[in-house]
Amino acid sequence: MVVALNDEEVLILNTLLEQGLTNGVKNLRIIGIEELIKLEPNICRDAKSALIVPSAGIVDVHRFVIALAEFAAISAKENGAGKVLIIDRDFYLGGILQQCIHPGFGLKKFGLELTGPEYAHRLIKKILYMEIDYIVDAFVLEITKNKEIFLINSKIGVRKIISKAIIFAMGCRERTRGSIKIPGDRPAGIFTAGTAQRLINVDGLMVGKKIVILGSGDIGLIMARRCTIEGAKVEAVVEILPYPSGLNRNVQQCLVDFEIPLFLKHTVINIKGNKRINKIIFSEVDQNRKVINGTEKEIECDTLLLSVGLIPENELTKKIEIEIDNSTGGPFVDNLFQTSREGFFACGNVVQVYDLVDYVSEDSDLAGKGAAFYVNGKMKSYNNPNKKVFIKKGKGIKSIVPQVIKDYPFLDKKIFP
Amino acid sequence: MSHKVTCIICPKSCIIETKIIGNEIITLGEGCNRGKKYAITEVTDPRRIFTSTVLIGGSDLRVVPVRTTKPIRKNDWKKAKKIIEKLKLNAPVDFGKIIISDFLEQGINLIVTREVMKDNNF
Ligand SMILES: Cc1cc2nc3c(=O)[nH]c(=O)nc-3n(C[C@H](O)[C@H](O)[C@H](O)COP(=O)(O)OP(=O)(O)OC[C@H]3O[C@@H](n4cnc5c(N)ncnc54)[C@H](O)[C@@H]3O)c2cc1C
Ligand code: SF4
Repeated sequence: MVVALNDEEVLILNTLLEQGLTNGVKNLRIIGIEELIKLEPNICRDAKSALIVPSAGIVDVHRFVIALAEFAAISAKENGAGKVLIIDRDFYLGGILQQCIHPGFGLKKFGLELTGPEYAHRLIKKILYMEIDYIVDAFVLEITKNKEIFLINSKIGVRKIISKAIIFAMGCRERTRGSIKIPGDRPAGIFTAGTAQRLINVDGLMVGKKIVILGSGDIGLIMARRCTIEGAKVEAVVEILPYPSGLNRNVQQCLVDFEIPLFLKHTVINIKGNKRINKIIFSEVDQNRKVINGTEKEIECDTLLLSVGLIPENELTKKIEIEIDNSTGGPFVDNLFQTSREGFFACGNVVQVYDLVDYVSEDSDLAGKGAAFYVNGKMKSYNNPNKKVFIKKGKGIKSIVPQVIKDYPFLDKKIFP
Repeated sequence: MSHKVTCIICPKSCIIETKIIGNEIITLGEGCNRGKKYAITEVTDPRRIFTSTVLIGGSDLRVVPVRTTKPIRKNDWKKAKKIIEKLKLNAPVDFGKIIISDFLEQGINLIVTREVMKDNNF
């Protein structure tokens, strides 16, 4: 919705309307002040009229609000959640998938080896087809316990959105140099691998020419190949563990294929450089990951990429005191991905760091279902504490999701007698 | 002659042993048939899907992702990169648009994997 505040802006609205219609935007219309106030009770009283663009509906009292995960949105809508809104701070939908341009997505879900953007495309088409609202370029600042959402966008300013249920899907964040405490100089040229991926694959900017990668997680491995294809020389991948932490298929197709050396049981112990990084020093470590003296080696480089782990992005969740499981870094969830606070759901990398998008989609589907049930008032009876099972970790198990099972009627198997 | 191949078809990453006996290739250790097929091409004619980006004008995005529809010869990635480096597309571009047909004369197409509208987001 575009709102006009004076007569001049009313004229602009008319031009916008014409432009929109010639560009084939459907259902465009201009509404007067009465209808506007009905639609948006909090609108500024100076408003004259507004152009309604249903495919990008922004200001409205929503039945239901979502912070990404296209899959959850689709599932919520399909299950009768009514109005669904996706909010994302990026200027496009699709999240991290859009920067993962390599193949390897959707084998399980679609039986095809898609690239990240191709996987996202399928979901986005469905979002548009189902006329699910979304707002991009909008950062959610805060969510209250009453399910009010405060977001900020450079065009519409700060907005409050009232919702009936919220699905958290903020993904995860990368560990930085600070979080692993590498000593040395503080020069330019040190990036997290995901940031480098974004710069190269979305922004079209190359990060360097002689690159060392610390950490052999999948993102690090994928970036070793990507940087090589872009003309850089990847001097080494350095990993502290005795085995690569990414998938073996990625070690094969990203390192072995390009003859990139992998140093297992090694870590970077110092960074050198004045303005730009020019050298790293790395060492072998023992079983306790302690540096073995006298094993130092140097590599000249102009760039260091860090692929040293991901952390679920739960600032918004923690602010409203939703319980967090320390073993996953995400909120405790039940089998419909409801968190410890009623009506708040979570899915994707915000719950735990997933390796495969197919599993994210599966779980998001459940979260969407859960939110729809909640909005329709079908969930109340299932918050009965007697019909709740907590799953305990056995020996050798690091984390479990979901942590709680409730006797929802649509479960496949009856867990409760 | 025996050779170990790490299957890259699915996350399981099976290690498949291949043995060339006469005209036949025998495989051992694959988790499924697709892996068997992969292991045989890997020792006879290794191939990979090639993905990269191409410059684009008239949009918020500076580059658009591309891929080959089928795997190209493994060692041809440098040639592939050289060719696409010279390209510049203009928005809008449709999802799946073929930008080079019969890429590297291997009967495979190079396609765009993201829809880019004019001055727009996806
Ligand atoms: C490099 C890499 C390679 C991968 N490779 C594969 C692979 O080969 N095969 C596979 O199956 N899977 C792969 N995955 C895993 C899979 O893609 C991800 O787990 C999945 O896409 C995560 O989805 P998500 O929705 O949870 O998070 P994201 O896609 O990260 O989405 C979170 C979104 O929330 C937004 N956001 C966060 N906070 C706010 C806020 N306050 N306000 C507004 N918006 C906010 C972010 O901008 C982002 O767009 C890979 C992942 C990475 C990073
Ligand atoms: S052989 Fe089959 S199961 Fe094993 S990695 Fe390859 S595709 Fe996966």
